Amino acid sequence: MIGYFIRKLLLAVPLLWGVLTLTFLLLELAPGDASDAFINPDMSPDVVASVRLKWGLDRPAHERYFIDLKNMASGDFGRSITLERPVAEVIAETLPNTLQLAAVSLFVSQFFGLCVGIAQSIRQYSRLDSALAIGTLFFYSMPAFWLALMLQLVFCLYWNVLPSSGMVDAVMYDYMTPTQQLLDRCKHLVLPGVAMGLAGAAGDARFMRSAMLEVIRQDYIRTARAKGLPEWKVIGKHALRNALLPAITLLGLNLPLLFSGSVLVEYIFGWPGMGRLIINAIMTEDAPVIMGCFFVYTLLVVVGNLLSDLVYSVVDPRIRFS
Amino acid sequence: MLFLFGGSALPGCSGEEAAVKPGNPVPAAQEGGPLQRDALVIATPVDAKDLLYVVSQTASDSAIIEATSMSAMDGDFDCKITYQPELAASWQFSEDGKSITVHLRDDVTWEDGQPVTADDYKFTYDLVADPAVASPRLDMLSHMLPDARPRVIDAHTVEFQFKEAYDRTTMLSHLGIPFVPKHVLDSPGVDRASLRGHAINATAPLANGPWRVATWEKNARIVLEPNPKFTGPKSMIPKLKRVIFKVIPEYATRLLELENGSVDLMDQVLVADADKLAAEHPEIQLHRRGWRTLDSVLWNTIDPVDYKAKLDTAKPGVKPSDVKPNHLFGDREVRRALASAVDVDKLIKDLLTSQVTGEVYGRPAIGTITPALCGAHNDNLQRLPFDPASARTQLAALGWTDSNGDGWLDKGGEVMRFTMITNAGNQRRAKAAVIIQSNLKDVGVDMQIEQLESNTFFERLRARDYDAALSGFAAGLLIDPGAFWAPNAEFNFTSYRNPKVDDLIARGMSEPDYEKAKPIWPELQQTIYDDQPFAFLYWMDDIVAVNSRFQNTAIDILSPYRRLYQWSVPVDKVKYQQ
Repeated sequence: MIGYFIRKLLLAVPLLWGVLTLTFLLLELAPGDASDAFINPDMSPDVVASVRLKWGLDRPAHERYFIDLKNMASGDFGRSITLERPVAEVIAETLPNTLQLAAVSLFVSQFFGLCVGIAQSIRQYSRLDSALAIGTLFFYSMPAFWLALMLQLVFCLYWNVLPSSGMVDAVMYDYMTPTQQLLDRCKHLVLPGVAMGLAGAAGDARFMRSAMLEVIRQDYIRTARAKGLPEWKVIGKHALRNALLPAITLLGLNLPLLFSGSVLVEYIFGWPGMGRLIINAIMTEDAPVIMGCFFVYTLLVVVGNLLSDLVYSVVDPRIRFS
Repeated sequence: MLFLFGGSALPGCSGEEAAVKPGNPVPAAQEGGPLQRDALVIATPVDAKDLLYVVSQTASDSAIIEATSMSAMDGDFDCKITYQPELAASWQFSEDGKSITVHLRDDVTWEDGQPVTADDYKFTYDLVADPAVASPRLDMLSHMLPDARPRVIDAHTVEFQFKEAYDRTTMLSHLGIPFVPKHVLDSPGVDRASLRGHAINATAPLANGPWRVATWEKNARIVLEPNPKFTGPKSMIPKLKRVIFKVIPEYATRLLELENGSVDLMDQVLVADADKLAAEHPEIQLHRRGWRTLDSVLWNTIDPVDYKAKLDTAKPGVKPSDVKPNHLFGDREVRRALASAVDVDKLIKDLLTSQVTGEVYGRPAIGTITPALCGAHNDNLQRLPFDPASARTQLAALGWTDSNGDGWLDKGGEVMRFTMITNAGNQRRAKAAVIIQSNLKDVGVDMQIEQLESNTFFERLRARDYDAALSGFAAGLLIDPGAFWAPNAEFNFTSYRNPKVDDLIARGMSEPDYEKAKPIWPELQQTIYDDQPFAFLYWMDDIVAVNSRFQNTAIDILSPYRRLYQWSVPVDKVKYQQ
């Protein structure tokens, strides 16, 4: 199995190369460069030229491309042009925040997806099934930013029970006990987590429903029922475990969507994560930060897929990687 | 373009030391100072980035720097900027007006206990002058003699010498800055080329003003608390316990938090939302800041294709005068005719007028000098009337007629058709573009609209790669028309040139006495308006919403939240006890 994971990791190298090359090309096609951030009516053109010289922006594109690739290969993300700080340091400040949000939205997506999917499958063609099908279609079709704004309107303005931005209470956090601080952080995760996870949950539910329906028609389920097992045991132990495999595949496929979706949700909820870092970097054409962020995203997706492979073998002991 | 308020920032202490630990009390007020209570939460769309004055650029940077640093001088605005002493106790001009001697207070210290001295003052200018720093404030030095910018006379006295005397307020604006701490930054270990990455700029600033940065969580919040080491005037000791800048990029979220009380202040409130706040939230007060921002249509007077070709083939430094005129907007009479076809009053009525109260938050623009500069702004200028029939007649006189009856004007087989670019993401400008398009259609001009991503839009303006552009500008409060209209100015996007305008600018800018220079500016505006390099549209007022429990607020054209040390809350209205 170790050999399998090593092979998968090695396969990630050309993937990373492809992502970085594409990112570099897109940046080259965009007008201007990071030196534009230094331009204002009071700035001498000589200074702008010296900024370009300092950061190598005056070099031909192919030279910069190979320098960037070489640095990335050696683990050096370089320095942010506009922040003058190591890119690794800047990413390290925001990555944990994005991971927290991704974890919560993944939980929301998987938990609600599974519950709704199971409920629909065991009550197939019932009113509950129809109601949930309409509900999931509603959330599946809804743009994340609109859902985010509606959630804010209901929970932050009409009822005012949940915070609408930031990771902590900007005013009171410094005066809370550690337990209160933990609760405060959890409260701030609810709305962005739900806004990001709900559309995924709707998709997962539809997927889970068909997977469960497939399984509960199998002979071994009939056998389990025939030998007198209670229904919850039939569903929970025999059917669910077998229906989970496609859901795990979906989990691996969902990861890239999760990270790309975080950009908008982080913006609306003022969440200081990598999504906003990338937006700011794109606006200022801070190439080292953009390249570094996409490198990390790609790596996260690769690792996420490896983890879902690992979960396969846990859920179904018959699966062995070679 | 303009230095409005002071601010500097410093290091010295690590971020860990600077942070308020949970549960720890906020430092007590200075002995003999006022009782500090409550917190002000300000919603800001962007985080601060650079807290050293010499590299700072954004409004968020300026707000924090102003709060945490004493500037040499403090500005006030009443028809023009005037300066009062702050860190500078006094100053004198020489008889010929070409040098200024500044005497600094001797009782101000940095947060780490080191005194603020003339060496810090001089060092600040040394950093600005150093090309390695790439400071955006180089313009401050352009009139100063290199060996006296400034010359240190003693620990608390410096002398600035200028090449020539010019507008005294502008001269003082180049002196009234916040300082950077020489004792921290002038050491072999500090790389000036990487100053933006230094802790003192990027994570842990060092204060010498009434506030200090207690917590800075990037892209989330900045918490200011009274600086316990502040040794400046007692009148500057804060009355609030904390000021919190909460970073919320999304406008709708900022507005929602203002409504539910999570934040106390936000600026740039839209007119429709101001109506809603006024109707539903008696606890929120609305303030108008004055005319700072301007929307206009820019007519490119040169041919973009020829300009690019000459740039590609000719030696660097191609002059607009070497380039073919624009086939439409190179003609002054065409620009004037089109200006008559645009209904500015309707734009103001539709975009900048309250539909509930009828209150108007815009006024017609006639130039780039803000109406707030009374006297300098030409109040008597007669605008070109909105008159589509006259516009058609003028264009017909120039040969543009609807010869084939298709509804569009043409001349020699060419239809009067062009594209106006604008930046995407600005709803007001997008609506304005559609109204202008409709106005021009009424006179037979086919204008297409192209919305561009902001960087691309700016790049096209700089490269003069456009025919017409709908753009916005923030006006300076010190008169500097050369930035827009001087022949080779970076921001003269229309490549406009008129020797009379150059002469007026030179005369106005070299006149030390503001009152004597004042009559020059209306003439300048009239001359430029007659040429119509811009179709000047409207000035906009910025609406600031603030919770009414705050007293002694300073919300004006200089800043939506100035002199935070004087803001206070009556004891019976305190919201946050901590």
